[in-house]
Amino acid sequence: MNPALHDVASYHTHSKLYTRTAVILSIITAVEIALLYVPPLKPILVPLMTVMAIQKLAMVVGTFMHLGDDKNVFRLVFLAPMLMAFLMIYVMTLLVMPHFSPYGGGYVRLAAQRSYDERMGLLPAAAAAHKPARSVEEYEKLFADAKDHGAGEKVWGERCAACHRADGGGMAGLGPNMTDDCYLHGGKVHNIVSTVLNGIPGKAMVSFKGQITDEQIEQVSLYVRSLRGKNVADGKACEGEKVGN
Amino acid sequence: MSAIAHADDGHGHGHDDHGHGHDGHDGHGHDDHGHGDLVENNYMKVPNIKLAMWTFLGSECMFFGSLIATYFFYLDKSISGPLPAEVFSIEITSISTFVLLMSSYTMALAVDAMKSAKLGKAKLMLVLTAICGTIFVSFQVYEFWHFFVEKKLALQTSLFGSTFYTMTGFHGAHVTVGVIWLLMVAGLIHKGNIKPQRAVVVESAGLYWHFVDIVWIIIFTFVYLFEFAK
Ligand code: HEC
Repeated sequence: MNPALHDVASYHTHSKLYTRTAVILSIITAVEIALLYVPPLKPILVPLMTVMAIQKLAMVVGTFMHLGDDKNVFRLVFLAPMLMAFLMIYVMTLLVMPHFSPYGGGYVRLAAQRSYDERMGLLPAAAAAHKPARSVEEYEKLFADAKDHGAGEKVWGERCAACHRADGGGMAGLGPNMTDDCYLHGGKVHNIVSTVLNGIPGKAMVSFKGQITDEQIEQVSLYVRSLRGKNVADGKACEGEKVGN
Repeated sequence: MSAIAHADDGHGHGHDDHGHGHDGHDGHGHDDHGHGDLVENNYMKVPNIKLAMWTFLGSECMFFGSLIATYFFYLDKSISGPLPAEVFSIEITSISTFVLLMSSYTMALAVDAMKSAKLGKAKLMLVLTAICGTIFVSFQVYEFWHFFVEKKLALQTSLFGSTFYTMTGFHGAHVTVGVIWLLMVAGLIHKGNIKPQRAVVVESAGLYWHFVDIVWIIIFTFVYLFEFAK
């Protein structure tokens, strides 16, 4: 008896099971997409969708590919590498990646890439106009070492409060909240200096280059950075991307 | 119940009496799985072609796993746009995802029809599956064109561009290979080169196809949906 040959006479069709599986797969996919439009679920969306994706995967592998009722050896040669693949994605994404700074280390030539983008005209002209004087790390260090933001606070009161509110909480239709964890243009001191230097094209946020000294721009930027996380009362809602520390 | 299950009981069945001669004869032609690996029994009493396919798919897990892990590793590291959320269209991708999902259904029906010796239905389902695959690839071609021409996202533009195109491009290439393969299998059935007794040939092609579908299940959820869920 040859195991490679199929016995037609004693085969019973699975088409009903397949139809049922296809319907369930479609429903799960539809629900998955619909969930995106339910804002209150946002905090649990990622784990929820992960479970749903794994469920779909299990149904295709178990039912359509019949791995569930097939030989052990198939499970071994397929599921072991699949487990390793998921493990790799998990480790790389959630454990290693957060410690990997794109600006430090020698891993990626991001600087080279940036100049390429400038050459290709892919960066907005204004963004390339005035470069912050220091590197990203230098600014972060400056912030970490700074004890007193008095000078920056003064500039803020005179120049920025009109749009961003004196306590940094932001104003409807004007400047965003500086005391939450959200940024439209990046939350590193370097990003903030760049925003103040160049302004945001087409927005009320204008370039302060030349209006106040470069030193004042640096001081006020460090002050803005120090506001993060203060979450003042009735501040404007989150705009842009949440950043971690 | 698969062919394997019957093989295990060790008793000969009427249909299997075609034996080597028949099979060997049919093994010629373009079906390059050859008859050797079908006829030859092996220690684990599983068809070699199926074992080979599962092993190959195991290695494919690592292949796509690396591409997906790399994509996530460099996510949010691009210093120039466009960024994922600016280019992805959930509406369009949902449609192509659904089409690919349904192709897994028609593929399963093709194998089922083959095992039930309904050759006409098997061919029809294989062709339907290939059509679904072609629609999916067309959507991808449109997507790439849209990203490249309108959003100015090239392979070299950013880390996102490099990792995204490499990952989804390899997936699309797999679907394309699958389409060609399925059409070849349908052709061989049509010419009478694959008999129901050798349904394992269709089944193996089906395993490949389902695998390509599960890779997309993961990419669609992790890459596309998560972009709007976080
Ligand atoms: C005329 C109103 C106005 C004034 C004055 C103003 N801003 Fe803004 N600012 C805005 C607006 C509007 C935005 C949002 C831009 C956008 O939507 O892209 C903004 C954005 C910013 C951002 C980026 C916020 C983010 O989420 O990434 C920073 C940083 C910033 N302002 C700092 C300052 C500082 C420092 C000053 C004072 C030197 C200042 N702004 C003065 C209107 C103003």
